[in-house]
Parts: sequence; C-alpha cells; structure tokens
Amino acid sequence: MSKNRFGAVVIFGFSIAYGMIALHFPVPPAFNDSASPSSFPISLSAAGIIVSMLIFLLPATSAATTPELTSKGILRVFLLLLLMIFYGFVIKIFGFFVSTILFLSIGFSIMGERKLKVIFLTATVTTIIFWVSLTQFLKIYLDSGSLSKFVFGLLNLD
Amino acid sequence: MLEGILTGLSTALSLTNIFMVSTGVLSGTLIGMLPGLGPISAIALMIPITYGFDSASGMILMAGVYYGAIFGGSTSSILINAPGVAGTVATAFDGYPLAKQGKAGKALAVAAYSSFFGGTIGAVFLLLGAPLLARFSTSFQSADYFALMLMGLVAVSVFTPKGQFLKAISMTIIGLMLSTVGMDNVTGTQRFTFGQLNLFDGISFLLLAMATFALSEALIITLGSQHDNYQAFLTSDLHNLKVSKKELKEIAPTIGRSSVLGFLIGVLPGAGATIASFLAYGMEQAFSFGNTKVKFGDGNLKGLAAPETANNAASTGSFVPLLTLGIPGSGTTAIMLGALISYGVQPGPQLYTESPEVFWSVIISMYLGNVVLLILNLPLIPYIARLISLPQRFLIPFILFFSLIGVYLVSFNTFDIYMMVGFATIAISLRFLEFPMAPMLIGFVLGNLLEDNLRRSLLISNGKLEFLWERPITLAIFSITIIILTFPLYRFIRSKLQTKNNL
Amino acid sequence: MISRNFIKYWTIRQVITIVTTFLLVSHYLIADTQVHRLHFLIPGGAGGGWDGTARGVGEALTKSGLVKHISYQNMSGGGGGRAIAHLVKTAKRQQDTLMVNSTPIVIRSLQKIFSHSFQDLTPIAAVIADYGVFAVVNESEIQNWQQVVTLFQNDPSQLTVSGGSGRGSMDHLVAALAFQAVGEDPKKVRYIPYDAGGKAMAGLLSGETKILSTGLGEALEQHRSGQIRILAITANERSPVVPNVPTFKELGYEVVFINWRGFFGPPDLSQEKVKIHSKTLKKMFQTPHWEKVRIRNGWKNLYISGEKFHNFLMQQESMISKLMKELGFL
Repeated sequence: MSKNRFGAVVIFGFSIAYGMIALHFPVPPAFNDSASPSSFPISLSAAGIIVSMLIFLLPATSAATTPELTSKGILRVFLLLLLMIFYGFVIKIFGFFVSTILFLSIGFSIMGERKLKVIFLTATVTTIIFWVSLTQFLKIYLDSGSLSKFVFGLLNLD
Repeated sequence: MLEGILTGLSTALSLTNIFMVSTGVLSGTLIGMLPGLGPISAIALMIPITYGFDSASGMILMAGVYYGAIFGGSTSSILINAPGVAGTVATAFDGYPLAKQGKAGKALAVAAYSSFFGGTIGAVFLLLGAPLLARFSTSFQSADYFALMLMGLVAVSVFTPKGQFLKAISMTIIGLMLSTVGMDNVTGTQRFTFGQLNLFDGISFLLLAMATFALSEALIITLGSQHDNYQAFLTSDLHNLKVSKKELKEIAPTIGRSSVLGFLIGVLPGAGATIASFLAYGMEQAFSFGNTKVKFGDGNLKGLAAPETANNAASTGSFVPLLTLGIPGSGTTAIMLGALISYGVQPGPQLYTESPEVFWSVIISMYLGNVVLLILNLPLIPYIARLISLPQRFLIPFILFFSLIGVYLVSFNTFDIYMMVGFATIAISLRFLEFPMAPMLIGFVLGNLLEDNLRRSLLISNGKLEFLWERPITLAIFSITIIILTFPLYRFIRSKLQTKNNL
Repeated sequence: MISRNFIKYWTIRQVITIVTTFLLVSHYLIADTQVHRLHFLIPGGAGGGWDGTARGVGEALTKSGLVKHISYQNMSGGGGGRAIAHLVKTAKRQQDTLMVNSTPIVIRSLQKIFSHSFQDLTPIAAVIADYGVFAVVNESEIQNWQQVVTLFQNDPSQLTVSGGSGRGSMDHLVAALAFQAVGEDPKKVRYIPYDAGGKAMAGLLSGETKILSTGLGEALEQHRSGQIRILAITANERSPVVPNVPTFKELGYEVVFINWRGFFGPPDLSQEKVKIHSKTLKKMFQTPHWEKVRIRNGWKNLYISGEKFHNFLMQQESMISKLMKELGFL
C-alpha cells in the first residue's frame, strides 16, 4: 500500500471515530436551535470521510520529500520521547530546577555528548539562567515540587 | 492634529523615554522568544514594573515590550519552527526553510524590515483615518466574519504543490476537528473531552503548534543525523543580513499590498492578526502565481514578507476599534486596554475629541516602539541567528526544552507535556506519510472562529440560509473565495494546454 | 551506555548529595520564612480578569505593608476547575493560599463542571463588585426598559439579546432573570452568545443584535461617549458612575444581581486563619494604595467576609439554581 493510501486509511478511520463520538453528544436544552453542538463536527466527519476516500481512489503523485532515516536517529528519537515524558513526570516531584538539569543533561548525553563536565555545566548554567530570569525578573511562580515540600514538611522547616 | 503630533513627539523623545523604550524592546524581544510568552504575557508581566513611572514613560515602555515580544515571537518561528503566537504561524512557512538553508540572518532581517514597514504604513493610516475607519470596524457582522474565515482557509490551501491538494484539504479538516475539542462556546456542552478536566478548555494553540511544528521538526532532524557533531542547519551565511536590491524590488510590492490588507483586517474587531497573515500569504501566492523561482514554502522571500507585514499592520489596525470605540478586538488589545486605563488613558471616542494630545501620544509611543525595534534589533540579528549554529547535540535538547517549558509555563499542567509527546509522535508519522502539517494548524486556528460565526449567523437568521447572500459584504467575500477556488482549475487547464502545444 | 558512564563517574551517594543540595537551595530561594506571607492562586492565565484582581489586591497589600511577600501562581484549565481541584487536593500545605474567584464559580459548580464545588472551599471575602446592565445602540428606537418588556411581550422572537459568553453563563442568566421578573418565560429569551465581551459590543454596534447584556464595567465607556444607552442596572441602588440609569428595583422588578470577585481558602481552614486573612483584606480598604489600584481599574468596593460571605453565596446559588432549572440546564 502506498504512503498516500495508508494515510488516507488513517484519516478515514479517524473521521469515522470522530463522527461516532459526535453523534452521541448530550442534547442541550432546546432553544429552537437550527444547529446543535454536534452539527459542525458531524459535517467535518463527513468531509473527512469523502476526502480520504478520494485520496485513496485517485492516482497519487508524490511531491513531498520524505525525511531521512538512520538507525541511530530512530533510537535517539525514541529515547528523547521517553525523556520528555520523564520530564513531565519529575517536574511535579522535583520542581523546575532539578528536573530541568536532569532533562538537559540526559538530553545532551542521548544526542552524543560524552564529556560529563560539559554536560553538567551547560545544563546547570542554562537552568540557573532560566530559573533566575523567570522567578526573579518575571516573577513567575515555579512550584518547588512535591518531594521538597514533603521533605521539608517532615523536617518542620516551613 | 499637527500640534497634537508634535506634543506627542516631544514627550516621547526625552532621554528617559528613549531609555524606557529601549529597555522595553530588548526585554520584550527576549521574553517573546520563549514560545509560551507572547505579547499578552509579556505585557501582563511587565505592567506591574511600570506602575511607579509617570504614565507617558509607562506607556512607552509598554509599546517597546509589545513590539519586542512580537518580533521575539517571529524569531523563534523562523529559527526553530516554533510559532508561539498564532499570528506567526505563516511566518514559519517560508522563514524556517530559509533558516534551514543557512539564510537565518537574511530571514530575520526581512522579517524586521517587513514588520517595520507594516507598522509604519499602519501607523500612517491610523493617523489619517482612525475616526473615519471607526464605522468600517463595526460594519462587519457574523455572516461576514464567517465568509472571511472561509476565505482564509481556502486562500492558503488552494495553492499547495501539485498532487498535495487533497492531502492539504484532509489535514485542514483534521485541524478543524481538533478545534472542536472542549466546551462548546454556544451551548456549553462538552465535546470530545471524555470527562477529562484537562481537555475542558480545549487543546491550546501553543501546545499544538509546538508539538506539530517545533518538536516534530527537531525530532525529524534527529532521525536523519549520522554524526554526533552534525550541525542541524547550514551556517555559512548565517550572519549575512544583506538583502540585495533585486530582492528588495521583489518584496516591495508585497509589503505594500500586505500592509493595506493587514491593516483593514486588523480594524475589524472579530478578525485580527492571524487571519490577516494567512490572507496576505494567500494573496501573495495568487499574485505570483506561476512565476516564482523559489516555491512558496521552500523559502520564498515574499512568503516571509507578506505575513510579517500583515500581522504588524493588523496589530496597528486593531488600535482603531480600541481608540475610537473602546472595543478590544483581541486578547492582546484587551490587555493593552487594561494597561492604557492603568496609565489613566481611557480609550474611546471621547479620547479623540476631548484629549487629542493623549490620543496622538498613544499613537506616537506605539510608533516609536516600532522604530526603536528596528534600530536596536538589526545589529542584534547576527547574534540571535548564531543560536542555531550550536552543535546539534546541544541544539536539539534546547529546542525540546524550549517548546515544553513554553507550554508548561502557561498551564503548569504536566498533562500538557504528555499530550505534546503524543501529538509530536503523530505529527512525525503523518509527515512520513507525506501529509503536510501547516494546513492542519491553519484549520485549527480558524476552526473556532469559523464555527462560532456560522452558528451565530444561523441563530440570528433563525436557521434560514439567507444570511449567506443577504448582505453585500458577505456576498463580495464569497465571490472572491470562489474566484480563488478556480485557480487550481486554471492551473490544470493551462498545464493541459501547454502539453498540447509542446506536442 | 549512558547510565553505565554515569554510574562510573558519579556514585549514587554523590548524586543523592547533589540532588538534596539543590532541593535545599531551591527551597530556600523560593520559600520565604516571613510570617506575613501569602500565596495567590489564580485559576486563569496572566492578563485575565482574575489575574488582574489578584495582582491588584496583591499590589495594595504589599505596598501598604500589610503583607510582606506575596507570590502569584497562574493555574488555568478546566474553566477554573483545575485550580479548585489543586487547592482541595493540597489543602494541608495551602494554609496561606488564597484563590481568587468570581460569580462563575457558583454557576459552574451547579453545572457540575468541576469535580468539586465552591462549597468545598472556605470563603474568605468578596472585595469588588460589578453589576449587570442592558444596553441598546444610541440610534435604537427603544428608549427605556418598559419598551423592551412590551416588545418582548408582543413577539419575543424579534428581540435578540447578546452577551459575551455562552448560553447558561452569566450574561445569559442575568437576561433570563430580568425577563422572568417581568412574568415572562425566560426560555423564550433569544440569546445570542459571543466569545468575548468586546465582540458582543461590536455585534451590538454593527446592528446585528438589539440588546446587549453585559457588565457595567464593560459598557461604561461606550455609554459615556454616547454610542450606546444603558437602560437598566441590576444593582441595589443607582451607581454613582451612571447616575441617570435606573435600577430594576426602581422600575418595579425584583432583579438584583451582583457579580462579585473575592477570595477563597483551602477546605476546612481554621477559624483563626480565616479571621487573619479577612482582617488583612479589610484593612486594605482603608489604605491609599488600594484606592489607587481601585480607581486605576474602575472597580467598585464590595466587602463581605466570613459567615456573611458564605450566606451571600448560598443565596446566590439558590437563585441561580432555580433559574437554571427553569431554563432546563439542570
């Protein structure tokens, strides 16, 4: 199956699922509406189904250039995606400061930087610059994370 | 009027105020470069600092911050494909390809010139026509806005490369679909939220733009990288700001057209900078139809100049309803209204009739911000451009961090980070299937406006479809849209004729 | 590979030491050991109405020296629901946190949009108020509220009423309330929603709708400059900023609607804390710094605290709930 057709099938499936959900919206109290909350989504779903069928049926002319792929690249992207999820996970626990240092350090290592000093220094300096400008100049409140609150709660330092 | 302008100028040009506007421009540019902090947050965060100052200085500082933040936004849009504000999405279409080709300096310079001229021409219109244009700004009704949004959608997607047309349409539809997630604006019904509180307010533009543009691009660069010391961008020509005479000649008419169009769209309180930038981009494609050396989307200078000019002219245009009617047309003008009130300026028709000197000094301050932006930032561009000459192993994690933290700083919701990873993964897959991302984002940006105005028109007309042709403005916009739609047909016929002639 | 390298250079103990050091440092940099410290939780983004209220109150409190240090935390999402859920969940460590909120919290609690209700929180005090108004364009043939009533009685479908937010939200409810008081069916009100107050105003000026239901603050400038005429206001007594606009009470209708903005503490906050917080806010009203902030923003003072604030909220809730049931929203 060509890329076009595969993509068309994906969009076709998405449109069907989207339309199915749209059919089952709770009905709001009647105010003599000619268009309900589901009218627009249902027509979008119909349009999506028609267009994806056309893409599937009509002959395809490939114009776009496909991005390159290397095995090293695939591994790295996979690790980076995991790292971003990890960042979302730790920022709640450790707060901005520690998690950002962790995120950047691990990110640099995934991308092939080997010198630990460079990794750690770059990550820390960047984080400090960001932390200072966000909290001190722009007065944006950054949560210090649940762990530090827990620890300091135990120590009764608050 | 002249007297008013002169008093405005004399207060604006004191040493303290020049210092103020410079500080504002610089901090605005820096703040605006972080995708999550657009002009709205930049001004909101800077206002408390200005409370101690006299109102003229405060206003001038704010003007600097405003223009700085807009330019900062264009910078991240061009350099790392990260449009933090909807108005700079179209800037990324041709700006980012230029940066990738090593022409980041030139792209930034063109953006700076275009915004400057867009702002200048806008300011001239504002000076000459503000009171007259007040009527124009309330002449549009929901049906007209609906037609305008539809035209915006059509204008950009019609001119896609050959064989991509249907795919562009399908991605536009996906974008429209994503825009319906969240609470329905009309009835308050929850749509596609699956009981998730996190989805209640819908998917944020910033999140979707960062995930599908910035993240997916950075990850795709990583996918293809062979060496650890690989540089993601060509960097030979990075510092070169020179725009040749020929290129200037090429973009001059673009800037002229786009600023008029942008200003007029900006005057309408229900439209704004985003739709202005899309329409200007579409208009340029139509004007240079069939005779471009560099395709739109591959780094065409006109494709960069048009949206940059239009969004700045539109931002200036949005001062018409603000200053003459006291109506804020967009989130940005709403925060400006708040700021102006806090400086003791109450925008509205009374301002013009009762205290014209304040009216003029507001306009002069805003314009001064525009001028200082150009003077200060041109010499800075080589340094800003150098950011992307970092080795890839540092640049990529930085881009990821930038995008994630930009979104996180707005919502402080880790759910958003997970959602970004999901969207980025889907975006990469779709790009491998050769489905374009840009139409999706356009659909998403215009989706809510399109649906809201359509449903409001239906409510007002009691469900009758007559609103589609009853008003001359609606009819005119629809006619233009239909003319635009015939372009692909024309292209098709012409290519058929050409092959015939060649035989 | 990475982890192996990492372990080679950094023993676990070293890592732990570094992490705890950072935790300590960041904690001390963030936490202020002053007794007089408050934390404002803002359920919307920077630049919104809630944000402006919190930062305005904060400015007056710190500049007058009533509070040494105030931090602001923007937490948007869920129409304000995320901030409420956060405050409920972390109540124990939020003893000095105040969340800013306003009338929509009552409406959205009723609609069960939030996983919690405002009743789960501890009401501290309301600080400012706005009132609902109805306006027409200056050229309109409608001169007073009585004519609106007559028009509505003749044919409610001819009378389009616009507002700056969706159906079932404040602008709509105030309109429904006004026509209900006349003795008409509030369901017959033809409400046209816009997605912002400014756009609803533009819609009125473009002639698209006949009447605008909005807040006084958002219509004041257009009224003063003669673009629109305000017909009636939902306040208890005439407002000094628009002295010629009659209240509904004067017109003989029992329509009073106050859009308050105020502060809430976490669930089960001790009486002692409630007293400290509400006293601090009360003292603020006497300061010149507050007066400056208030005038700058065009706000109207409304101080109701503690038990009274709670009763006021319950009263507002029962009124809105009755109305929403009648409209079919509940």
